[in-house]
Amino acid sequence: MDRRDLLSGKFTEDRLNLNNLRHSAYAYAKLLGSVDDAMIHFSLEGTIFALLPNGAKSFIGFQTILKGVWKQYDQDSFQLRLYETGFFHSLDSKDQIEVFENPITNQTNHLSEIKGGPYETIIKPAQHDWMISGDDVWIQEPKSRTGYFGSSEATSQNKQTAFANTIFRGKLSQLNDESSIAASMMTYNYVSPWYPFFEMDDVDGKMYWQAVGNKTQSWSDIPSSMQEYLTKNHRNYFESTNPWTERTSTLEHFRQSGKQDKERA
Amino acid sequence: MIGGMSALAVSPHLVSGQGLNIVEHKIDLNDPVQNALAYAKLVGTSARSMVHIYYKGTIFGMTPEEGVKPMIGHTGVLKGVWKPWINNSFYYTLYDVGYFMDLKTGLPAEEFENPFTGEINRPVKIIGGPFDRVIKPEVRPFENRGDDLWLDEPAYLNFVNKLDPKIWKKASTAERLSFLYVETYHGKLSDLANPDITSAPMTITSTHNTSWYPFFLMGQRPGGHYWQAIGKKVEDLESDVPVELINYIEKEKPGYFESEKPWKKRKGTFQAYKDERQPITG
Repeated sequence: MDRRDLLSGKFTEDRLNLNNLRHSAYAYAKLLGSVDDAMIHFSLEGTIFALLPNGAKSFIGFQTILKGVWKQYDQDSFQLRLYETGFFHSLDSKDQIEVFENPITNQTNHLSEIKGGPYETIIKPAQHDWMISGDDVWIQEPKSRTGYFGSSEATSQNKQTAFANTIFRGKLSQLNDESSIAASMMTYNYVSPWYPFFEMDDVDGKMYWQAVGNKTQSWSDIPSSMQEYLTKNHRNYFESTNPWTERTSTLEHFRQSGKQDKERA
Repeated sequence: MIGGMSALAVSPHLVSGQGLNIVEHKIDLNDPVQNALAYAKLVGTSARSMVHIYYKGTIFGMTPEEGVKPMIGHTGVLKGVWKPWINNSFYYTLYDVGYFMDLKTGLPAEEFENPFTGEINRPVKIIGGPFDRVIKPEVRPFENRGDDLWLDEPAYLNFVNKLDPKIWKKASTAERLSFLYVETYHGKLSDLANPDITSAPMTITSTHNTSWYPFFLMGQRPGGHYWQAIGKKVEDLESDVPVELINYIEKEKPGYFESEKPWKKRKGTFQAYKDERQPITG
């Protein structure tokens, strides 16, 4: 296969070899995003479970929308700039809530929004851990993270560990076809310490975030509750290639919001 | 979201015998009877029949001191024996056979080095079931986007450990165990709406947050496992399931794929460990 075939995506059914490093990077970009310059969104819906010593409980719902801005980087490589925004909702409604009656502490919590990025990644030729069964293909990305999960990064806090596992599923036949984008379903799992806006420092346990969604190119495919959230809070998010410039995360965003509230007070 | 799924007309459309007339099927997942039928078609079958689900994944360990480490792989084939039941319900019996897997080779692991303790552990065999379940008419929270559909099914388990920690000091983590299973089933809305399809193609993502399993010999060390697996309903055994797994299953349980009742007495990992091993106190 030559460079022209890679760029134009002209693979025939039997020519994409996922053991080949360049093909693997190409398939990775096509499944997670696009092999042409494009914006790709994943709209996810999920539940956070509280993992407590005496068992697990469903805790709160959440929705997020990921934006990946994909560009050809150099020969055989791709550049990804990733953003995320979203909100929490109660377990019996999909509408955003900012105030949460915490069923474990019986306290009222003032929630942050979910916000992350821009995170930049270069996808270079590499061997990815593909699983193939018939025409179905999966790739997964387990990642550990160690850091401070409290309301500030005070040095007196202990570092804690979180673990995320993201799984993408698609069709091998679509990775082989001539399009630049393949349909993809995403599952996101994240085991984390309590996030500080839930005010659970005194509770033994962890959070388990579980969400599912798919790649979407159309505003009309996004759930109405997410449409309402974006219209209200991030009007240009879906169209913009650069919805904000300063890198943040949900934790950082919460900490900054707290600082600004104190400065205003 | 659920409210928006009432009486969905779905595409792609089926072409009738004349090849011209478009047939549009409808399904109302807010109707408990149709919802149960959709569940049976997605996870198993609405006919009196068997389905097999291939899975493969990784078991991670998580401790407060050492973070997250992959410990061992696992792979197998679930067998579901389904039949229509009374009052618009479905009844199925589930079996599981597979092996704990070397993460590098994908082959059965007779033993492995535990990355937390540095000790050599010997896994038991994966064998489970029969587990019986009735799928009753009720509204399960299917989600859909276009023709893509999925269902998250959490299960909360809290039960007495078969291995008393006073006796099984290294194999037992506590007197009671707490597990959270979340199985996500993906399929196509058009398949579930199609009355000609009794068993729809399905892929599965499975995650389990569990206490330490006995053969890891983690004792009462803080932490636990995160199990992850991906898989699918088997449409063609030879193209969907790796040959080494088929060979393993046919050697361990001859007739597993063909039989509606591969064994009678209930089996499970904790019971197998108790039956096969002796307490280690050191």
